[in-house]
Amino acid sequence: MPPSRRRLKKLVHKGVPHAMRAAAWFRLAGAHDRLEEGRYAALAAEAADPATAAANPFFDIIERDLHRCFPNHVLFCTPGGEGQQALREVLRAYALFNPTVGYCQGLGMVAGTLLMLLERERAFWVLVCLLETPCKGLYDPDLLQLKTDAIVFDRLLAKKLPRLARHFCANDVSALMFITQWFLTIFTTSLPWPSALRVWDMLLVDGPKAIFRIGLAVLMIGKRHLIKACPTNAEILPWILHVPTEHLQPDAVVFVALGIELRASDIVKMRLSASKAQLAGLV
Amino acid sequence: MASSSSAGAPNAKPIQVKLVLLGEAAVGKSSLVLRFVNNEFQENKEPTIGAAFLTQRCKLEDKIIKFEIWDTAGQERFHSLAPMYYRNAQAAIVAYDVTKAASLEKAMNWVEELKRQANRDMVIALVGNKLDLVSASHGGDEAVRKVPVAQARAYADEHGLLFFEASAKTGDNVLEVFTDIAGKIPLDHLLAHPHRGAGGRGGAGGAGAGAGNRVDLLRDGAPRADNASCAC
Ligand SMILES: Nc1nc2c(ncn2[C@@H]2O[C@H](COP(=O)(O)OP(=O)(O)OP(=O)(O)O)[C@@H](O)[C@H]2O)c(=O)[nH]1
Ligand SMILES: [Mg+2]
Repeated sequence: MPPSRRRLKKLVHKGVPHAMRAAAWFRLAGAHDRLEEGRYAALAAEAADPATAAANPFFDIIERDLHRCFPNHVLFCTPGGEGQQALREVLRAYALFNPTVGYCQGLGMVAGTLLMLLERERAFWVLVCLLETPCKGLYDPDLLQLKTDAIVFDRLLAKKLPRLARHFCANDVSALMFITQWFLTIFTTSLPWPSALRVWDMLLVDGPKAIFRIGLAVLMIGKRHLIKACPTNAEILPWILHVPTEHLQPDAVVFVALGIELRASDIVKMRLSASKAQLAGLV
Repeated sequence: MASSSSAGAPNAKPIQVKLVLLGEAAVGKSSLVLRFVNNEFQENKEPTIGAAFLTQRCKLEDKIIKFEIWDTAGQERFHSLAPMYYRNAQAAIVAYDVTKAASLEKAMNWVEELKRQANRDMVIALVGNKLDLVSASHGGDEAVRKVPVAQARAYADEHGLLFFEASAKTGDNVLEVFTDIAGKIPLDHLLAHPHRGAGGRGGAGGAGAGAGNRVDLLRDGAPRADNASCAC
């Protein structure tokens, strides 16, 4: 890794200053290079055509999610307001741009997060980059990548937190039960907001290993409580699915996550092995 | 453990009932659970990604039932995750929206899948939600109804399902869904074969409904979910 890249990573790990986040995310995601002039406007125009709306199976699901996405945020709380209109346009444009993915619940939160920082076209291209690189395959119709990642996560858990992994196993708790929410919303519905933003910072410089590390960090922070105070899945699951925010302030989560030794190449190898096992019907 | 569960019940050990909610996106599955568990309603409930997990206790005659509820995501894309949640479940609520015809079809598909793949003696309830939208008494309009009661009821009868129309928004019939389910589950069998971990935090029971007396519950205005508060 060139020293300049290493310096950049270090800086980003400390948290991108919020005033710079919009510009930084756009750059770090690679949207600057990916942006095709005029393409977004064309997609938005197509999306606004009633004939397109009637024919596209995803538009209806998008519509049902618009008012349910960050309903307490000023930008999105007004029915038919600027935020909801922007969200509709970006999500529809994406569904047209990538008909394979179309729309998957969770993307509303991802696009919504981007729209809090960026204007529609720039938000759209960052979304494109996210789904082409660090979150590739995660929202595909078969959810195969997500299922593979659940196996990887279970294996990482067994390696990094063996006692907790045994506790989960004894209670029939598996990673797929919680990483679906964590990964598909990129932690925006699971972590306190400032922490979620730091996760996104990390994701954009570290790639997918960032979300694995953050997931492991959450469990590392909760380990004592989960083992001591959560005897059965009736206590474990509510805790994991609604992690008490007081323990998850940004510096704490990021500090623990960065302390977890995990290389990008480990993730590549583990994903390969997990998907082989999956194909062979072993898991 | 479980101090408040001693709410006048001689048989204080709660019986765990695993229940799963299935149904098309945005029909109001999470809202039904939220009404049952917290007696709350949120106009803009966030979509469920994957599944949410909640618990609630309620009292049935002299027994305490502890519902362990998996509230699943409705989008078709999450369909393949569903078996993980309905596997081992003793009960299911299959929900549709009375103002959306397609949502009943989706519900029927779920019922068929459950009949094929789930626990053979699973208790299944078909629930038409958003009843308030079609009830004049709640400012609704019968004209927006897209699923006739008779059609859904006939389907439910034919397949041996419990059937309700309910409203998570007003709370109409929500508690009844859960108490009737509890009433139909062979609890003595569960008591005889308790499964792992009956412990946990408390929450006093809701209406003390007898098995299958939904009509009475409706008419006598039995204590609503107000006292079905939950500490979970
Ligand atoms: N009028 C009315 N609206 C309701 C009722 N129940 C739910 N809603 C609304 O319908 C929308 C969807 O409700 P949810 O409970 O999130 O639906 P869901 O089935 O859990 O949806 P997914 O999680 O996406 O599968 C929300 O905006 C609710 O406020 C009801 O009984 N009456
Ligand atoms: Mg839901």
